[in-house]
This record gives sequence, structure tokens and C-alpha cells, in this order.
Amino acid sequence: MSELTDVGGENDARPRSSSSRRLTVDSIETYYGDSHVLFDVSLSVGDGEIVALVGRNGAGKTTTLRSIMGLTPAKSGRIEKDGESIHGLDPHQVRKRGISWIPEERRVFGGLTVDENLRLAAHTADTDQRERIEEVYDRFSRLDERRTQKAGTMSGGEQQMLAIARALLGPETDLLLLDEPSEGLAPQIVKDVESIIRELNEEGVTVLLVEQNAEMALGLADRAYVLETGEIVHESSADELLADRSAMEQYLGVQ
Amino acid sequence: MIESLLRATLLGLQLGMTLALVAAGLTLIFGMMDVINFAHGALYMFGAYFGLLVGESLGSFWLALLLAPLIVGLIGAAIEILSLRPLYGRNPLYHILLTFGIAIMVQGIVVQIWGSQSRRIPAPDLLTGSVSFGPVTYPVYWLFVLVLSTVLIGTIWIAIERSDLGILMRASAHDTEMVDALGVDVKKVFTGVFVFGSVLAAVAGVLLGASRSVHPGMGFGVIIEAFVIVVIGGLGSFKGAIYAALLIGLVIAYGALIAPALTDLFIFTLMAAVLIVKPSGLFGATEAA
Repeated sequence: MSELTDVGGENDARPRSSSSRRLTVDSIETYYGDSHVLFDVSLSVGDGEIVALVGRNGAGKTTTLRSIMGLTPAKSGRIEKDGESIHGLDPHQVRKRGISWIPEERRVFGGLTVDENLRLAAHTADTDQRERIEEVYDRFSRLDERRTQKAGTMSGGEQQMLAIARALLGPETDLLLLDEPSEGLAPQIVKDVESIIRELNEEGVTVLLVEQNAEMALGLADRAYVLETGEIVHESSADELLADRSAMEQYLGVQ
Repeated sequence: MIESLLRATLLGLQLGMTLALVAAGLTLIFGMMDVINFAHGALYMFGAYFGLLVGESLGSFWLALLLAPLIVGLIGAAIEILSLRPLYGRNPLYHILLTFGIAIMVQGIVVQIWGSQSRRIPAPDLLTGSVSFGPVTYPVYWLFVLVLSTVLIGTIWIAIERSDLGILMRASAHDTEMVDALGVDVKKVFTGVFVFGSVLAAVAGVLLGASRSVHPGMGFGVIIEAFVIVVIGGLGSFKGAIYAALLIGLVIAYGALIAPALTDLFIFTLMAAVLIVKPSGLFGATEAA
């Protein structure tokens, strides 16, 4: 798993031994109906890492996250969280294993208020979450000001904050699956999102980040995988990929 | 003239509130589960017949009102788990065909067991007689039905607006997959909603079974009224279903005063008018509550 596919030599960002692996995806094959989307996809995320999964539109990045979450179950292969199989579990069971998914386009409940969105997420935990809701409000002051506002009437950036806040409530989260968090946001807001991701990571949350905005993702990440038409075609440290102009252009169309 | 108008108003509100019990379940099931439940009328009818069975064999209307909805709730759970669940995620047409088939089967079962003649659940002694409001005399039983339905609907309304369960229902109506990914077992929520709708329909069946008649055609009769209500109110909208139910109740009551033979015409004209002015119904399809 730690073998690099096309970058040889030294690699200081090699994933740690399997005991400290948060997430292991091993040779999964995923289909939408009859169409085969993921081919033998393997990746791993070590405890405390930020790993970026980049690639062009339609490469299968979102599908990879959906397969991990059990939303579009993989037909075959192995998916493990902290060494235990989560393959075949329903999404709500995967969530209870500590994995939180922040989907593309955020998908906050637009007809519910900010507070109701958070209460809903909190309500799935076994423990009393009132304090944690207040902690979340302390962290995201924009949300605190908008508790009774309908989520659907907020800006994209505010909705992204809400989506992240929502993912932190409920069962304890130690692995975040983030899908295109920068999509449709103004550059300044993207910076805010980046610093939140960094902050959460420093607090011990492991992150698997899917991004179209490869430069943003690689700036944040320790390691990166490139997905192309459903296959992992490149694996290296994020810095190496960022520095490799030809790979960046070949895989991601970045000049 | 004023007397009969007042009386019709009371009757219309009572009928509307009882129909709201049926329509509420129908609209919640559609809103959350995307299932157009043609079997909802059959569950209402089962409520009336089990009410009849319990009422006649145990001699108590109150036990009938308690037990019949419980029995129908169990039947609802069986229908959801065994027949609807395997079809989620497929074309909604499957659910229409399935529930329509269940409705026909239930009607057959009812005719087999209870025959096709019209019956009535005996109302309790406590609720016989009538009360007078000035010039209007009104049966105590109808008043009881009005009060009970209103209390039930009011309670559900507040629960949907305020409680965590209500938030969950509104969120599921909006994005079921996201709710699942947040850690909620949506399958259980679906079963719960279906059972809840079945229980409400059965309560309405018992209540109306003691004032209207109990007969094998009642299921299809009520499902048409309930669908008109849900369409007028806006598919999936709870609030809309309640307002529309009151509207339809009043139209039926006033219609009976003016031209009893034409009430259906009035109802469908009203529905057509609403759909022309506002195709998504009074409270639109996007408003889940």
C-alpha cells in the first residue's frame, strides 16, 4: 500500500504502519447500475493525516467517498476503519464508527433553521450534546448570529460552515470525508474553510479531502492520490505532486 | 337559514378535522418516503371494521377507539416492512401498483369477513343526545369527534414544528440520504411514519364509523377525498393538508345544504381552480412542513 506508483525514491510522507491507519480502502470496485465507476481503487489514510484525492471532473472522487460512506456500496474489495471492516454497513452505521461525510454542494437542510440543522445532527448521538452545540457556536460565530435563520437563505460560505459544524456533532468524529468544500466559494471564504480544516486536523481529526481545486487541496494535504477515470494513477506526498509540473498538467490540467 | 348554516359549519369543521387525520398520514408518507399510498384508505377502512369488531364483541366504543388503531398500526408495520421496503429507490410507479393492489385485497378481505352490507359502530351512551348552542342543536358525538380530532391534529402540528422528531421528519422529507449519513436509521424512521399514518387513518375510521356508515366501499371513497386534500394543500405539506382538509370539509357540508348531489362536483372544481392558480398546491412542494 505504501508503494508509490510512479514517484520513486525517498518519501517522507509514507503512511504509517497499518496499526495507525484510520482508513484503508483496498481494491474496491463500484458501479452505478450497470456502469462501472471505480476500478481497483486502493488508498489509505493514516491517523492524523490530511490526504487529498484529486483528479478531473468525473474521475470517481465523489464515488470513492460515497463507497466509503456506504451510500453507493462497493461491489467488491475491502474497506476498513481502524482495522475493522465497514464494508457493507449502512451509512448511519458508518457514521457511528466516527466517519463524517460533508457532501458536494453541502446539502444542508434548507427549510430548517441553523439551530434545527445542528439539533438534528446532535440528536443521533447517545450522549447529551447541548454543550457541544454551544462549542460549535463558539467556533463558528457566523452561525451563532444566524441560529434562527433558515439554512437555505444563507450564503454558500455560511452553508459550508454549517455543513462542517453539522459533521462535528452527533457520534464522535475522527475521520472527515470532505467533498469539494471550496466549490462555488469566493477566494477569501476558501481561505476560511482551509483554516478550519487545518484547525480541525490539529485537534486530531483525520481528513480525506476531495477537491477539484487541486492547488488548494495539495496545499493542505500531507499526501495525495490522483484519480483518473476510476483508477488511482498517482500517489505521492502532496508537496512532491505540487512540485511536479508535468504530473500536475497531465493529471489535473494545471499549467 | 342561519341555524342550518351554523350547523353545516360545525359539521364541516368536524368532517374536515377527521379527514385531516387521514390526509395528514397520506401527505407525511408521501413527503418523507415518496410513496403514493393508495392503501391508506384501506387502512382507514380496517380501522372502522376492527372498531366495529371490538365495539360489538367487547361492547365498548372506547376500547374500539383504542384497540382498532393499534391493530391497524401493526398491519401498517407489516405492509411497510414486507412490501414497501424492498421497492425503495425504484420507480414510484411500483409503489402505486403495490398499494393499489393492497387496497383491492383489503376490500376483498372485508367483504369476505364482514359481508357487503352497511354497518355502524355503536356510539357510547355517554356521547348520545345533543347540545344546543342558541338556536342550533348539535349531536354530542359529532362535537366529541370535532374536539378529539382537533386536539390530535394540534398536538401533531406542534410536535412537527418543535420536537426533535419533527425536525427529523422535515429533514427526511428534504434529503433522506443526508439524514442517513448523519447517523439516523432511515429505515426505522420510514416504518415509524408509515405506522403513525396508519394509526391516524384508523382513528378516523373508528370516529367516522360511528357517525357515517361502515361499508366495503368506504376505503376508496375516503382515499379520493384525501388525495384531493393533499393535492390542494401541496404534496408533502402537513400544514397544507390541514387547511385543505378544513376547506374540503366545509365545501362538503355547505354543498350538502345547497345541492347534495353536486358536492363531488364542488370538490373537484375547487381542486381544479387551486391547481390552475397554484399548480404546486396551497403550500407548495418545497415546503415540507
